[in-house]
Amino acid sequence: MEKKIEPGLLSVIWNYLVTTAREMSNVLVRASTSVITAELMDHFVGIYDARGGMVAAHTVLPPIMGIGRFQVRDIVEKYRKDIHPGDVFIFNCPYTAHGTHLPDWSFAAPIFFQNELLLFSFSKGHQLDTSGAFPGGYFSGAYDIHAEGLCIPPIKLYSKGRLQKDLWDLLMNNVRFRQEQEMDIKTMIAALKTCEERCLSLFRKYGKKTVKTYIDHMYDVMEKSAKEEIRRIPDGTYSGESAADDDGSPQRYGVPVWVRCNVEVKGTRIKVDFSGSDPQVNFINSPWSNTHCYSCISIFTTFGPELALYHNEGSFRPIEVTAPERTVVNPRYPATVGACPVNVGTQIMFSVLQALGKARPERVIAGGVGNFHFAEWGVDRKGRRYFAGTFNGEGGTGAVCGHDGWPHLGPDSCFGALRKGNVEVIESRHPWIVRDYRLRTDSAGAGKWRGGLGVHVEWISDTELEHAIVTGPSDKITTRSYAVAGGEVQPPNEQYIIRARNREKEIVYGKRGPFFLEKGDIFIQNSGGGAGWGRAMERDPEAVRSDVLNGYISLRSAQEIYRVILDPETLTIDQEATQKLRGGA
Amino acid sequence: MFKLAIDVGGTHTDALVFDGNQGLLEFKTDTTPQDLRIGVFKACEKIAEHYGVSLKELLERIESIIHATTVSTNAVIQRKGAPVGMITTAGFADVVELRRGRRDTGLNVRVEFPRPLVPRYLRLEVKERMSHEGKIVTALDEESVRKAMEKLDREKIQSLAVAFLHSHLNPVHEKKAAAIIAQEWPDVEISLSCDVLPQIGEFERFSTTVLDAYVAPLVRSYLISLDERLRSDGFKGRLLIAQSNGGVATPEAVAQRPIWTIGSGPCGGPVSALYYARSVLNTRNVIATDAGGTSFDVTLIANGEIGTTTDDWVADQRIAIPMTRIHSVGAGGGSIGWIDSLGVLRVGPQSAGASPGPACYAKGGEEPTLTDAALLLGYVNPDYFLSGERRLEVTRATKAIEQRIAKPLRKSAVEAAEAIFRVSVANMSSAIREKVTREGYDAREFCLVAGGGAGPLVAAPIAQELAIRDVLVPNVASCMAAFGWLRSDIQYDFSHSMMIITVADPAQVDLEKITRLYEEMESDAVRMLKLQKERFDIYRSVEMRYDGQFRESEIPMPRKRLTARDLASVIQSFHKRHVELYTFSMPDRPVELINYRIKIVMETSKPKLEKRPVKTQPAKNMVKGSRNCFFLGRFHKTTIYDGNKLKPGHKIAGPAIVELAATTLVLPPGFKSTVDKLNGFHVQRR
Repeated sequence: MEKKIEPGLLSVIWNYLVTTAREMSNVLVRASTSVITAELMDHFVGIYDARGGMVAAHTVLPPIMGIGRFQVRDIVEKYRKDIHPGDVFIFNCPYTAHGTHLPDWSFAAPIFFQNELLLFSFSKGHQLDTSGAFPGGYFSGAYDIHAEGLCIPPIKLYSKGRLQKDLWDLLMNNVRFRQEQEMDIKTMIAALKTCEERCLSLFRKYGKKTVKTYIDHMYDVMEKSAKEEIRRIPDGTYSGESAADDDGSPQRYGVPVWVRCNVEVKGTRIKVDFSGSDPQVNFINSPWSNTHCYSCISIFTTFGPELALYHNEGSFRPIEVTAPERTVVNPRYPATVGACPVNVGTQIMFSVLQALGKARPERVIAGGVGNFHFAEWGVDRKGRRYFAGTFNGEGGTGAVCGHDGWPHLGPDSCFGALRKGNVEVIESRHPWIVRDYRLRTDSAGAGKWRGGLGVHVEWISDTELEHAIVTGPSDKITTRSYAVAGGEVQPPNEQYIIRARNREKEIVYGKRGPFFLEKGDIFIQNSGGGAGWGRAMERDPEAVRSDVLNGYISLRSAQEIYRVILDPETLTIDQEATQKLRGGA
Repeated sequence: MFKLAIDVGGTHTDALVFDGNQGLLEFKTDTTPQDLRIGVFKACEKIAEHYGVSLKELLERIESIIHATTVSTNAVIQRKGAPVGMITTAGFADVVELRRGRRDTGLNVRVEFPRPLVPRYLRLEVKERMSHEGKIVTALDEESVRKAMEKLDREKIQSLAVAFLHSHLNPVHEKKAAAIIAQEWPDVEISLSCDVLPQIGEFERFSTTVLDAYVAPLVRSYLISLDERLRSDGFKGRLLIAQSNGGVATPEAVAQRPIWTIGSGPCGGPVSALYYARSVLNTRNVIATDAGGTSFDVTLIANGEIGTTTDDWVADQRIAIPMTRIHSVGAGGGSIGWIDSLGVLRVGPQSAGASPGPACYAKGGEEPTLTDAALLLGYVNPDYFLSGERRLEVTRATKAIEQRIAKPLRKSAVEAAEAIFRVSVANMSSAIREKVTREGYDAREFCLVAGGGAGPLVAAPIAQELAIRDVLVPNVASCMAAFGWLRSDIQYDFSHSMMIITVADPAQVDLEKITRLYEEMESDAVRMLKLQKERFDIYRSVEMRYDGQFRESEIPMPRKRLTARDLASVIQSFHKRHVELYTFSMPDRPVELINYRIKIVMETSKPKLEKRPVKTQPAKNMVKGSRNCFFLGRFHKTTIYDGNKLKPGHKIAGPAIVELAATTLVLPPGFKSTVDKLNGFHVQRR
């Protein structure tokens, strides 16, 4: 059935909705007092339809966009006729509200026009605190989900425009940085209001029927092009696997946790099956919505770049994801989930992309650093208690066909959305002295295109007062990333503490802590880069020369891995010797 | 005596002459990218020709030339700056390459990494360290400076960035290193981070300093040779250079801070838009737009304030000096229409530019552009484009639109042209809407001033899209920036951070320290700019935020010895400002003082547009003819007016087209326009 769609208007409405989502993000960034929301950009906003279909999203944190689909549907199913203008819903629970980990609080508000529920505005942000045993929610070894923090089912924070004061008091009485969090929630709700105003003016202008028709058509268009992309993947079943180092429980230290998948491509459909993944463990379990979304997002990265901004409900339609219950990719209550979104989320992404790399390598990015960051709390330079998540120290991303990876861009699952702090600001806010912050030579995987480099950072604790770090979601210290098309995998991440009192070196694995620091203790991060794409021997010798010149790789790697012979003094390429070493290729 | 503004754009070099007798005269020549000076002198020759005098005679009669050049911007975009080296604190050589680990392409992962302007092997570390309080932790090892410099000298760098950690709090190490290098390597040009941008945040400061070093040799030699050539050709007046803060500067000042010119190109536009809106409608709330060949620039002017931002990028490099807050998107007359893999029509951001240009230029362009669409729709007269200087070929435009757009969409060529036009309008409207809401305003409360060659084509439909009531199309629409520069003051911006001061109680603050900082900044600036004998005004301000926030707002500070009462009232203004910007304030929360700013302003004499008597009358006699123009899905018989003959008070009703010397005003059905007292057009809905 051919709908009457006017191409100019389609473009107008589509861009209007995408711009609206971007505006919501601007609201959060400009007024928030949370380092995580405003400075690190760890938030997500989007617009969903009355059935939970994703209309438009601002891809600040792409992995979250699919989660709103589940969460809005939960609200619609639970409240049905009891949804009214002025309602604002709040929720974070992985088991009753399709949440991810508990610090990610979501907010959604219905948008009514002419007495009809048409859309939902949606915002989600990593909160400073969500109760639980330690500040911030990034600690392993909690007894169950209740020990990790407040579990909020889909409930109304505002009912018909009125704040539910009792509920508000209950929530705010259970978080550690109440003042900051109150501010942050205000801005999350301000973003919803902005969205509502924009959408209403769209309805007023074109009428609800037209807008609805065009939104449906946007889905169809996106579905069609997603299918077209999938059609270009050769039919077949491809497998991938990736492991987290361990789940952070003392009894399972060093025991890798495996995510395994089969990706079955048949015509224009794609099916991801996680049978064979490990049973649910502690701390890193990925709730179903997270697993589903990470799978889809991984597939989206292989699509044409022009689709990147415009994903919507249609993009998800040709993809089917299944995962057995009670596994690490589909846990049941009361399994803990503290590090889930980025931790096992990354293993999901790596395993799916590894599988797709066998099918359509020219479109697949090699694995990067994974996750390599920490969270901290203590007493700041002004003498006040604080919690901060920081992404400094993250390593590089993997290479893609045609481009080297980017340095310092991790975690992989955030696609560079997170901004790292300036050392000058960190040193003047929090009790650190940063001694060294540099790219690490030879930290990336080799390839025709090599990975982006990781970094070396030395943090010296600079306070007599309380100061603690947790290595929360850090990973890929004992397990490995993946390369594509014959590229090589980067060396692992490593980090350790050198204690001031005895100069002893204490290796620090991921998902550990809290580590309480004393003044002068040095925390050292050596993050890995990304993996390579294609065979190292095919890298342009001129690029290898430049890599040596700039210290991205050593002379030795140039010779042994890339098989390029350079004069150690002048770095001129010995063409003949190089050709010979490369087998006359 | 004449005043002359020469504005180098991507396609054209605009020269605008203000002559006491004839008012404003506009001249356009092609920009000469290989050497921008050629275009500048060609423009001067064209003017001389108009007056029937020699170039020398002309230059002798010019009292001032205000010049906006893209020499620095182009150097960055095309990566043609000087070979640069960098010396920095041990452990921090990679700051400009680490880029705070951010990319904003989302799910598009196939993106090339933006190489730093100074490669890693030319970024060398020296032993030194300051604490976060500006205390010396490790003294500068002077030998390590010499060793680094010896290596950089062997690599034949021409320009050097010196950037140390926390140097905004204590510059002694940077200054000492610079002194050693200046003495022992006198040929190397040096940019110090404590001079260029003494503000907290090493990535932004280092990146800005590297940019300064990167463009410095080019800018300096450009200015010297331009000035010499002008002088030898008889110019005795004053040369002033446009800056990205919207003000102009002496060549000597720009030679000290070449970075002040980066991105200056479009910054004159808002100045003229504001002047125009104030003169005609007596409003200070303006959305200034400039639609040229490749880009659409939007500036929001609220309450007469042309804002600046320090949160910007030039090409892929971070720049943090105050720049006019212009939001640019890839949309203009040359923007190309295309069908994406979703089958959806998009326009831009790619542009056909000046070469090959739109298909209708018949210069080898085969892609359909907005200009081609406007031609098919009947808006643009093929025989009167740029007053007839360029003939447009309708058949080529038709062919391009038919093949690339109409066929895949199964539409007629003219329907496809309307779709291209409509999508362009939507793109530009979105750019405005986003800009306006990002700043916390409502577009409907503003007047839209449309500049640029393509601006008057799209002004009315954009206003309709955004429900804006008043649109102004100045008679200088096609050279808005140049006119703005004619009216710009000399203006210098400086900023400085100290240790962050948290204020719960103004009486507890070391006010003397703040006063002292301002005084030092002022005397440093006066010395650097050699203003000892000049008359100027100085304005102080402070960037502040609520304790814990991450975005600052700039609040004026009185220029006097600061008292607790003064500071309290500054804080009051901040609360008020916060409400204006973000709808709420937190009066009980302490505030933080982050950056201290001064602005030095020297007023220039400004040409005014002649206000002419307004005589309300129909414009019947100014009609050139009529043709069929396509609006809202069908052709309408449309009256064509000769814009050069219209006088203040003339009234026109849409559908109508007004053909001006360098642009075309389109009035769709439902719009009307009156010629205003400055001989521009005031467009409204009927």
